Amino acid sequence: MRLPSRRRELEFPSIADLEGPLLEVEDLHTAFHTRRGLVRAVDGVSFELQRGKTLGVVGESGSGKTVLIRSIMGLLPPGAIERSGRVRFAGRDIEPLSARELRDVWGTQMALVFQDPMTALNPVVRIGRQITESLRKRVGLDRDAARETAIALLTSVGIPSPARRLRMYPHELSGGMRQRVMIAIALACGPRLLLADEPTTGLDVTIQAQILDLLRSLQQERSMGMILVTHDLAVVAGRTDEIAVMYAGRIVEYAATSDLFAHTRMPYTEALLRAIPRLSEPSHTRLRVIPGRPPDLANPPPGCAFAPRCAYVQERCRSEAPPLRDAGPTHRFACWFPVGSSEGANALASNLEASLPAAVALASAGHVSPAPQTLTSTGGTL
Amino acid sequence: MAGSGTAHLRTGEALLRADNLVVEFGTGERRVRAVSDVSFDVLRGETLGLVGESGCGKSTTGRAVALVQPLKSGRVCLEDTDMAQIPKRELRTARTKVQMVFQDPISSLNPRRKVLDSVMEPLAVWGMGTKDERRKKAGECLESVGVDPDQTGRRIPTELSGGQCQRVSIARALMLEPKLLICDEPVSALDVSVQAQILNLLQDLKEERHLTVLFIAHDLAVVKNVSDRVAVMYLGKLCEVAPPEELYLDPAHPYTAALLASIPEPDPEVPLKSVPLSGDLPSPTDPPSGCRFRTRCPRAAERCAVEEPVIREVSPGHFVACHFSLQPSSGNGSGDKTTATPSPTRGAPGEVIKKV
Amino acid sequence: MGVLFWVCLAWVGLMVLLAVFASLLPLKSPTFQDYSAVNIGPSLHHLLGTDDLGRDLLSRIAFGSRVSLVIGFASIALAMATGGTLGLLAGYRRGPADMVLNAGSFVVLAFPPLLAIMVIEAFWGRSLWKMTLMFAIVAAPQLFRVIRATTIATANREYVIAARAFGSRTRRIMFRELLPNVLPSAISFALIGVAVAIIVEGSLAFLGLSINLPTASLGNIINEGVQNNNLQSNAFIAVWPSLYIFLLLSSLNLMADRLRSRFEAREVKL
Repeated sequence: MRLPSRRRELEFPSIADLEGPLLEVEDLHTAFHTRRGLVRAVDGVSFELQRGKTLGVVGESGSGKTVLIRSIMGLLPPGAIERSGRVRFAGRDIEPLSARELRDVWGTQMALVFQDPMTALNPVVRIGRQITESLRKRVGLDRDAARETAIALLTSVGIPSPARRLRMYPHELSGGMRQRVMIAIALACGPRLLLADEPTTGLDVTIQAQILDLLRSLQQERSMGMILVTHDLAVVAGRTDEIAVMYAGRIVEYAATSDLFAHTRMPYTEALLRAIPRLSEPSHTRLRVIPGRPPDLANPPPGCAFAPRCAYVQERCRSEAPPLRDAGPTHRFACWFPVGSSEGANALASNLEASLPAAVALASAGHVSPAPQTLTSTGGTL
Repeated sequence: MAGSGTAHLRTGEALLRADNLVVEFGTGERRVRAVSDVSFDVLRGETLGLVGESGCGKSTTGRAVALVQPLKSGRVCLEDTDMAQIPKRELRTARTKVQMVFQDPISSLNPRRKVLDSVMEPLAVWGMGTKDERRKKAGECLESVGVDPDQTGRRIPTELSGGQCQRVSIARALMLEPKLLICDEPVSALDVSVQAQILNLLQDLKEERHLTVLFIAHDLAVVKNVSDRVAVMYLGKLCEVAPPEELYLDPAHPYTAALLASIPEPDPEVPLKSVPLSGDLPSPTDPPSGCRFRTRCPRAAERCAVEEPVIREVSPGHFVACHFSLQPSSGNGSGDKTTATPSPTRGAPGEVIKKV
Repeated sequence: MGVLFWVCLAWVGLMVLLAVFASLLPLKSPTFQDYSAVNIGPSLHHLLGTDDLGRDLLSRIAFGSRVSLVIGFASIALAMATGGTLGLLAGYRRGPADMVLNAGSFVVLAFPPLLAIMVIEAFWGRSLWKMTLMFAIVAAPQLFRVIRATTIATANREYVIAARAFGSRTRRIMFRELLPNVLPSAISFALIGVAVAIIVEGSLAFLGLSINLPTASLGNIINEGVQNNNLQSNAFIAVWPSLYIFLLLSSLNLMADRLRSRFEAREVKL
């Protein structure tokens, strides 16, 4: 029996009553003080998520995507961290909340599924207890009710013989099973928003497909909002409604999924798409590399962070960082010389003439940029 | 599945030939046959891609072929010389012909040694040249992989990025001018943009130095990109061996087909396929009898539990180990193939014999 | 590493130098009994005072520390050289040799060290090198186990496999690949071993079971300091050597701890 708590618990409106977006992030900044200086892991990120929708956040290592998730939830490690900006969940500001208050949010409103289930699950506690723990403390179920719910949860995530599994330890399960258990734990208290941080990286591709399908179906059943963080564009291609591409702590392109692939604007996104080896391509196709390395976040270059590696780079890019501007109602990007525009095409052509390595790499194997389209820009233009 | 058999071995100049490799770990009840009677060959100048999911034994096979993993039985032949039969000193010399590149770039290098020293080490082991000559050669090697020997060479591995460490690893592997390069998941731990760089680099180096490559990975798209021939493994056995185009267009083995179907395409227009494989990998200490894949195979039938399939040719150059292999869509191959439709006793598609 | 680490290192270094160069420094003789200066407290002539037989305490401690430090450091160095090398070998090669050595280490470890030393010296005698050897024998299996464990963990790293792949022989791998990575954690353990050896020797000396008198040893001095009502009349006799041992051990422990956390932190980053 849960003891009545003395402090007032935070109230959130129910899903049905919710008007407006489920999650709003406004100009979120998160920086760490390290020996090398101030590392701006998240440098001004804003987006909205409606309930029932899935947002994919794509980026490579160092892009800030994991820190973004942790920052949204308020799960950052203690220490020298600077955080600013607003995070609104179901209409309510949550970023000024203290850790104690946030405990009412974690689990019951927002839940996180981690990348590596082996280190995210407690290795010396049985699975059953790990699931029922939150059910008993947060929702207040008694032991039998919690156990019933746990069995139902395990069944809903597709684990066979759930009653037997409750008594197992994490190391007795396979990787795919552990990930399912983690999802069950995350969903135990019925959160509205599920944040999945690289949930399938490291799993076999056949298991990966199962887990992603599971997440999608659970999300639809419960009309949760979901944020799927990954480095793999293929994973988000079929399973998200919108995608945010991150680079060096910022969102550099944000679009509805089909838009992102069909009408890519940001050269980084385009380069990323071209660098992936595809099954449809013949063997020994020369891959179009992105030369160079991601920037050092403690010492970012002036101007656009992608400029040193960009095929479309011009002088302006190196001194002025481009703002996010619109290319349609749900398509934002940050580039002075975007893909598919006449400025972009000219920039690429002149870079090719000058034999800039990034341009040469992009244009190799006969690839040409798509025909220039006029940008439909609504405000925020040059 | 469970590929025993040697139908896919070719006559001709094989740089590497592995015959009936068996590798076991552990003792007693916890004994695991990581590699169970696997044979293959790699011709000179060819890249063989070895693909499979975790626990299939591909890394162990790679190490066995690199002569750093002792075999329980079977033999490894380099340039027609059986590695088990030659005296120890010659074995040591033979090692220089085969070098490895590993998955985790940072732990492939000694963390307490400067990168340049690590690259010089192979020559130092053999006492080749003076220290200055070694340094010079190491510097050249580092440059050929795109690493600056003066700036980056002085650092220790923890100060470098994953991509840089992997380049250094490759440079070190090339110092002894090997003929065969075994790459064990060389790009799995790297970002996409760096991955492409390393793959192109490997391709360039292979051409420049006339290398033969055994490329081990779990990412099918990567393997297709680099290979001339692809072998698919499952739970210690070979499933299918074929040229990449054919394997990907026309997989003959149900496991290969399932694997291909599970790969997400970075294209939202391509519809998601329903999950073709259910269940989890069976425990390697107690693999299923007969064909090891039968517990998850939509085509499994009684025969599969009793008889282990033997590798056979289903179309020119395309070999598979399955009793009920998928019909190749383009014509019938030569050879003895019994591609009977599976009897619907148990094993209706999707219903698997659960082994928990 | 912290300021404290360097302070402790400096202190230990100073003590070692004091012991090594004791005979060259302008110290009074440790055995000369000056009956005119019995039980004097710290003064200009006798910086730490004298004991109940008029012997200068500072020089007694300086010379006495020789025994403790020699036995402490030398025995552990010897144990490292033997037990450590065997540990490297056993951890890398495994197989039957490893099983035998492992079992052997358990056998030796089964003997309680203090008792073992007392028994051995009872019929072997108590010279300095004999004591050092006994301590080394008792400490070696522990170092063997620590180094063996670290070696087993390190031997599976890919850079070790790479070294085998390009033809490195066992000895080269052991000393060029494994040792530099195994040594840091072993050193911190060894420093603790030194501390323990010093205190074991001190305890034995206190019981009169270490090097024979009149050679001063710190434990002997403490022993004298608690007999004959000396604690009341001149507590300094017991206090100075105790303080010395306390400071020395604390420094060694702190250094060991700092080293350990520094090298572990590095490992984690990998």
